[in-house]
Amino acid sequence: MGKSLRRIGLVLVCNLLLTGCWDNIDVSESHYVTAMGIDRAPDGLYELTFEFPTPILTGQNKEGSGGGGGGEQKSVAVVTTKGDTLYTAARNIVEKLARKVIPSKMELLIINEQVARDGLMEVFDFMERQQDTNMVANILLVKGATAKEIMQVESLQEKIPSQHLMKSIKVNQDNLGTSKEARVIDIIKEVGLPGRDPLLPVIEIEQRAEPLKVKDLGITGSAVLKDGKLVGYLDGVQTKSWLLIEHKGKISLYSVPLAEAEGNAVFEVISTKATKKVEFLHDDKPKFIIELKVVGNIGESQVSIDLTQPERLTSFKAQVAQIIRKEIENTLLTSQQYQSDIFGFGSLIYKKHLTQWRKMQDNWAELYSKAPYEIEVTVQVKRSGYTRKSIEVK
Amino acid sequence: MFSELKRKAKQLKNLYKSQQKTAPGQNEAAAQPEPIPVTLTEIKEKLSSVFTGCDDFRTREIFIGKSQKKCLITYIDNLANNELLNNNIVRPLLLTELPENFILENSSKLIEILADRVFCDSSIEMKDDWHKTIESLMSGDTVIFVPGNSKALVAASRGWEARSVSEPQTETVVRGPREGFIEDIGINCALLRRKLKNPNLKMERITLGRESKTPICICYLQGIADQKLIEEVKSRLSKIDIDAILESGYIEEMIEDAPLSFFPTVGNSEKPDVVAGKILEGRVAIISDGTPIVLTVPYLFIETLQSSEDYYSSSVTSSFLRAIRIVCFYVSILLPGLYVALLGFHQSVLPLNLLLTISASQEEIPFSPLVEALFMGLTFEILQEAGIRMPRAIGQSISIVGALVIGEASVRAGLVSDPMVIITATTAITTFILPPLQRVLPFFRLAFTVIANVLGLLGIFLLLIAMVVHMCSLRSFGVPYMAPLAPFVPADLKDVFFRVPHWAMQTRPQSLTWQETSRVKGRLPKNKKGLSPKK
Repeated sequence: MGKSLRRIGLVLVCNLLLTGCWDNIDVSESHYVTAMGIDRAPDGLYELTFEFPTPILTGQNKEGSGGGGGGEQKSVAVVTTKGDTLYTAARNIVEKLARKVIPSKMELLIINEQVARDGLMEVFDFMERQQDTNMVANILLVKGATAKEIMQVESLQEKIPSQHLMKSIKVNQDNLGTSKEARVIDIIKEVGLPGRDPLLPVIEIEQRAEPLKVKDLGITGSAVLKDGKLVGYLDGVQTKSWLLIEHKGKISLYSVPLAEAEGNAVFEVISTKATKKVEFLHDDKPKFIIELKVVGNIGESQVSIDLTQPERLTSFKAQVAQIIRKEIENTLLTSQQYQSDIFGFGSLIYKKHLTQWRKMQDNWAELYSKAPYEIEVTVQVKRSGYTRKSIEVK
Repeated sequence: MFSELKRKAKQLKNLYKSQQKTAPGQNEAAAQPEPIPVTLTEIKEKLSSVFTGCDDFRTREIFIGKSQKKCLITYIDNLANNELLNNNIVRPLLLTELPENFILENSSKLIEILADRVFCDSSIEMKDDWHKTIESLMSGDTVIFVPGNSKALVAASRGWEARSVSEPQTETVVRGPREGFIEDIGINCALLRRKLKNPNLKMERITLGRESKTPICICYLQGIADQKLIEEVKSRLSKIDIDAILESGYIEEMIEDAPLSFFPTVGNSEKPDVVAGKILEGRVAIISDGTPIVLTVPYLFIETLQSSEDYYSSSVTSSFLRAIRIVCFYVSILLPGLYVALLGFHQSVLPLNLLLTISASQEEIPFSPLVEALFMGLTFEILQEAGIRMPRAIGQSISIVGALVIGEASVRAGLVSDPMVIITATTAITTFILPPLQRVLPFFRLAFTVIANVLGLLGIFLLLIAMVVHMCSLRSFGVPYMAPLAPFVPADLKDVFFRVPHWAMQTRPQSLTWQETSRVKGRLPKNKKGLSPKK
């Protein structure tokens, strides 16, 4: 035991020496990038937009400086450069700045629709190859506008607008489920995995305004990639179904039309358990099976509903299951249409039936798009909120 | 610098060895007893030749009772207590009822008769060596020369003004005894004896210092302290050849295992309960006259993390406090270094908001974090030193200046950033939690800060590894400095990171004695193989 302990100790001591970068960077001699936008300029060059916070304005609330002498000074600086590759474009920024650019704090990567259609592999390569990029940065895809435009946005709540956007993706995913968080490292992993295509969150300008505020933007839906290229979009509801099956979301809401009267009840999903399976038919074609167990509460009811009656509860559960099933079906059909395996059925086959996968991997996209499926949803109502019956007017 | 010191140490060692070879003859000559003169005139002559220029030396010639025989009383003014002298020696001698002819008849035995029948002193002693007699005289005893006899009587009459036993300025406790050692070795020994009323508590006296003749007392518990350790302490003390021992620090430096190391390998305390506790664990205490600081050996690193109060309050709270002390040790040496390293090399480790806050505060500062750290550290050391040295009466002005200089003004002037002030203040506070290391921690802090500026975290860890290696290589009187962690003694962990309750602390630390001894009677743990120190 002593010997092995000593060996473990030696390895641990060696770990202490792996402490990271070697060269000294002076804090007051550097600019920290918090967000980067990638666009394609009309002349075919890459156009990179960087967001730098100004520490004096963002970092501190000193009595003197906040007072008003500065007036409407923005707490971030947004600078755009051009270049034929991402790296040269990024390096060209030096022409416009007096300090060294440190990309290690970049937390948001905003990518233009057009760049995504041409392929994101170059972006991922750039992110992976550089030693001090932030691999856990969030990716956001801009639909119908340029990244540069999005980055001019102003936030009322956060000092750094990109922080606002980044946080709202996560909040949306956890509380509403119409958007989906995508970190660079996860997306690179998914792209490299056989039989799996990633989704990226999408941002749109809902209402053009000058100056653009965050409230004018909408983060909803997601972009479907295939082979690292953008092929289409899922809307918010479809994204919600995807999150339900992938266990990524925490809470999502469903409006259920009620039979009692004209009105809806809100079913609030609080936990799910999904199993994905692939069965092989006689001709070795795959069949997808999705089993989903949903547990939820009644969040609101517009009309009086009495779920203490077992029959009513059963019929209500069946109704919710039907709605959820339909939405999942819709999502699956859309993905089949895009021939993009967003649920990762291919990777399931790759992991469990490697020989079959070898046979079908070349025309997997086509097989996927034509595969039959079976979706089974069971619903459990845990609580009908904090009341058992609706309030009755007497 | 260190190599030069080491060379010097080596040189001294060689010198000492060569001296030892030639010395014995000389020493014997010096130690040879010199007889005491027989007649009064001879004695007076000899005394006056020795004590010329010593105006505090007093002699008094008085008759013994009603006889015509005279004797000579000698003492040092103010060292000997006048009241004791008058009541116990002069009065009985003058008023003795012994018949004159009896005195005259027994003039050869007179000195014994005086000792046994006249003097009212409990510790009267007869000496026949001139040097020893003078030595006793110099330490406050009264010497009575009786003519017709080559002997002298030494009566204990020491009684000078000493500070009373009071609460020590250092090592203050909330719970626990308040008394502290004083400058008098006799009272110090008594304080210790009062804690351990046991004849096994041995107190061996020796005298050190050619000029000062300072009494030194070696205290240990027979049967619990390792015999080899006692021998080692005695042999190291006996090798000390110095003109004076004014404070126990002299001894400490002479017997230390690693005098050039920053880490102390000899412990000290000002409190009898602390020293008694250490003696009970098998350590040896060295009490030196003239100082309230008592040395204890061997001294291990874990003792810096222990406090006497740990043992007086509940084990849960004291274990928690011990954890805090361990954290503080690291905070104290690493914090400025870590700050410099994170800011200079590893900004990506910091969360964005923290980074922006720090860089905002750095923005207006013309200096690098290293310069700031050094500036603030130096300022703090200066203020601390001034605080210790200055007269009490002007203490307030120092604290005002300190607070202004360290805190407000330097930030306002844009010389130092706010986080740096917080860091300096934190390290300063944590330093005081570890009193034994208080003087050396700034050195480590400086080293870590400088290397952090050159190599970043890599440098910090390299230095940390070097420091631990050095600590593991140290020994204090044969006991590994990092014991019971390195070498690992599982049984002793009961008093390292946490203090187990007293009912569970059944054995004494084995890392000190390398034998299992039980604290609770009849509760020796099931027989395990005896431990032996690794050589």
